[in-house]
Amino acid sequence: MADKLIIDCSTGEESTEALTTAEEQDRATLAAESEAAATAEAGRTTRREQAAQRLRTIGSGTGTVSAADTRFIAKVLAVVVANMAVDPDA
Amino acid sequence: MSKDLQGLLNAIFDAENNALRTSSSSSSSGSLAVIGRTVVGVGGAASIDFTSIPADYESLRVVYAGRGTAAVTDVELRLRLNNDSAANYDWRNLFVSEGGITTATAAGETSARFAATIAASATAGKAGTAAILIPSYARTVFHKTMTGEIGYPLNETTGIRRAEATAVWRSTAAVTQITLLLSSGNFAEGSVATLYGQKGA
Repeated sequence: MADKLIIDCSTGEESTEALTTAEEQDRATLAAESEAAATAEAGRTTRREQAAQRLRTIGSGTGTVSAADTRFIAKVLAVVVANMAVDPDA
Repeated sequence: MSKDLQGLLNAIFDAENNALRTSSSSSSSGSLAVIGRTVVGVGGAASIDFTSIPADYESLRVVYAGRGTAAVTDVELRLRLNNDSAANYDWRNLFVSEGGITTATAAGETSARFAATIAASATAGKAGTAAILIPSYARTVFHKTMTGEIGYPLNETTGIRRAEATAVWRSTAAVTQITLLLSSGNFAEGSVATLYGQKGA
């Protein structure tokens, strides 16, 4: 594992120090937190892609639009409108 | 990078730093002065620490260009102040990428996230960049709010990413130390970090 790189701004001197045990543990914790966040984001991305695909299928005009599809469209529109920067009634 | 080349680079940077320090002593309002700078050498660096930061300026600006060594396309770029690793950091990042616009946020973390920088699996030769502003760093009235602009090109086609970041350190203490961290791996050889002080801004 690489050392810490330290720049003393009062002298301009540069030095290196080995990580302490606590700092190594801190890095491991940070890596684990980052991995968990990445996994959660990947899940959100997958769900967004699935939702987009379902809308594309509904929009393709093939098949019947079910009541469940209609509710799904309404839910998506609610999210879109809630995030609109303009007045939706304007 | 050879030790001779590293030494030459350090000498050039030292000379530039001294010149800028001299010019800053009579600088006009708003001018930038280099407080510290480093180029990561052979073997990389686990973290980059600017210590003993003087309280002579109104704002600090950290400018980074480099990449990580982890075997992934990108890793989180993190920052700590005054070596505080308690759960005192809140942040929100806005990402513009090939997947659209997304945000991420967290409260009470042990470091502040400034989006990401590229790592070993990104296209060779590319560098991620970040410019982080810390206004009123030496004042002791408010918590420290930082903002950042980040670029991290994973490749030369669809993966050219940009991010904006806001982060808060829940402390009124004057900032005397800044630590740059990555979520995994090390800062790669050749990565550069510079700390600027800005007066009158």
